[in-house]
Amino acid sequence: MFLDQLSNGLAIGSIYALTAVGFTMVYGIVRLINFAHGDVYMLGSFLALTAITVFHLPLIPAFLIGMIGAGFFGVILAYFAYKPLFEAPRINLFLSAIGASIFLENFSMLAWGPQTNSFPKLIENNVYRFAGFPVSTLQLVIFGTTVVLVIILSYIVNKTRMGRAMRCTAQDMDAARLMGVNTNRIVYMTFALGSGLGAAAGVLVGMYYQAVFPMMGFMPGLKAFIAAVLGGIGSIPGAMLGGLIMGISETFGAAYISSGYRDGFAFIILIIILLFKPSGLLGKSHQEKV
Amino acid sequence: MRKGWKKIVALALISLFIVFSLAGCGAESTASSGDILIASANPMTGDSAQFGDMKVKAIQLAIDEFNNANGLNGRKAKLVVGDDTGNPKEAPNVAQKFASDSGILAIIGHWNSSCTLAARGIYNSAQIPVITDSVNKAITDGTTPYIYRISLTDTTQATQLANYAYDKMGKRNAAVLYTANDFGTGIKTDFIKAFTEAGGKVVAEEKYFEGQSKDFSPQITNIKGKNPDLLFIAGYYVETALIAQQSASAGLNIPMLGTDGISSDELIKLGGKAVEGIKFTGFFHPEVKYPGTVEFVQAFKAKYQQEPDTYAALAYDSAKLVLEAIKKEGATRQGIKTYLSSVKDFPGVAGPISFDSKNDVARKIIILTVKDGKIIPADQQF
Repeated sequence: MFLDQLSNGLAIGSIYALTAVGFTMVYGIVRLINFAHGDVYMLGSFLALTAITVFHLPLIPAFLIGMIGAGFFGVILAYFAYKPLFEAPRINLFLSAIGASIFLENFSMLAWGPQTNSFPKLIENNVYRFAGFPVSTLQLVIFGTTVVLVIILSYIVNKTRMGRAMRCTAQDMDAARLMGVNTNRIVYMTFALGSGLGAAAGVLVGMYYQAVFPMMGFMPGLKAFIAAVLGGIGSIPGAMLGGLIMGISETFGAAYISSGYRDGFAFIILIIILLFKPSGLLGKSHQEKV
Repeated sequence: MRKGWKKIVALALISLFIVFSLAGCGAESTASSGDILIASANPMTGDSAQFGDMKVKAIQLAIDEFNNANGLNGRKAKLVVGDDTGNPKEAPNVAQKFASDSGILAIIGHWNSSCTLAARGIYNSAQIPVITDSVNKAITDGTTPYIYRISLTDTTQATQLANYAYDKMGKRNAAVLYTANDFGTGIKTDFIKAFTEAGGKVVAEEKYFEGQSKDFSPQITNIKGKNPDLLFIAGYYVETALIAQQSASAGLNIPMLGTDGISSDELIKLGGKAVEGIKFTGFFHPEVKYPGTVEFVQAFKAKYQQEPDTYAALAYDSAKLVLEAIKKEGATRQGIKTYLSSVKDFPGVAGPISFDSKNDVARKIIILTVKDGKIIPADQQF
């Protein structure tokens, strides 16, 4: 029982982790709480579904189409909804994100209809047991994809020229621009990567629950935000850790306390951690520059 | 130069938007003189959108038939569609809008119990008759004489389901998974009561919130640990399909029993193989024939290229009742109410309709099941 629940928690936790990584990345560089992130996740899921059902593509190309398509949407969103407001107070950017989120939800209701669509079963789901710990094929796929994508992301951020430019931009956008970094390009790149990761999570969720619908991004968007804050917003390993903690605590709370308060547990954990460590688990607290 | 170009595009877009929204308004309030207006207040978007869509199609069919038969001495009937999104916060807005429009004579809806409960007071004080297919028992508690129910109460349904599970399926240890709203809690409470009274045991009781999460694995794992021989699900089709799938992958392979909330083809589209064999309540099936059933099914199929479901049939009967009332008692709200209170054995396609002193109907439950990807009446009825 305990191990079963732990396995359930890890599966949903790794999805939260993947969503939160994209979210925290955008925050780290643009200082934008991207409330449309959950909806980009939903778009990724719908794009992959369309690729599979309409164009009859196999899973992996469909998965890539979902990621790339959502990345493209992320860039468009950045260009039309966020870019014009970079110089404005942060609150405007934040409101624009909420507007973008409402727009995307209604856009997909028009494009794909309001009903829940079923995601075709492409992977035979078997359950394996390792020393009593149950793992299903899909859980392995989810966990594996999350790890691989995060490794690729860490490589881009830490080892490439563009990654260095991203880290510069994150530290100080004006200074980076003065040093010759094309910060606009970096910002778009960040949105593309962050949205792609969010979309990957969306496709995985679609596969795992075999259901895709326009409002599917709303709750995960909020949860990704909590996971990112929990781990220290702006920190990629922190987002991973935050996502896993959220998934596991939610599952255990639902299993052993009450299934009705499931979403409450995530928020309770958030409050407790913020009380003791206001910058999040792995967040660096640094002085505001004057 | 570029700035100017952007401004022009923005202005063009805004003016387009205004033109469209004005056009939208115009289309909505066409109370052109002489039309008899009947309103549908049902979920057209959101998780229960499928049901609202079916109901509107069925009402439109009844209205078309009425109009083709020369209406009320040449006066045409017209359908006004409201969208409560299945959300009890939205329902009162829809109710307010309809109640304040004196052209609207009757309401068919709401579908969700929570929505009907939230809106019924508004309709009642506007003295506008409502025919609902929501099941929560509180809807006909006697405080709102203008609300009629064409389906059965949750108590009747749950009691019959509990007896079916105990007597006909021979189940003794049931697990209950329900949605935490007026519909789910109402059904669950009555089911547990009737099932324990019959001699059975409810070994696990888990809940979930509509639209909160699509992950039911903690609940299913808990239920599996209690070794029940039946899973009773009091919820709607989306969640039930997911619960069935997640149960299958968690290795919980016990018979499932559901309510009228899942009698939809969407259940099969979403659930696939996992919902094979699931049993649930229906108030209508094309193969269970009453006078007019065959004609209704044919007309519905011809017009919309799909099979009508329980709610389509009930909505069709509701619309027929209202239109008959208008013919008999005149096109006023009060006339419709008088007719509904006195009607005896109106020949509905889902069985004869008469309302009792509490505005409820008596009708038979049909147990439906899924076999080879199709909804059919189960071998074993009551």
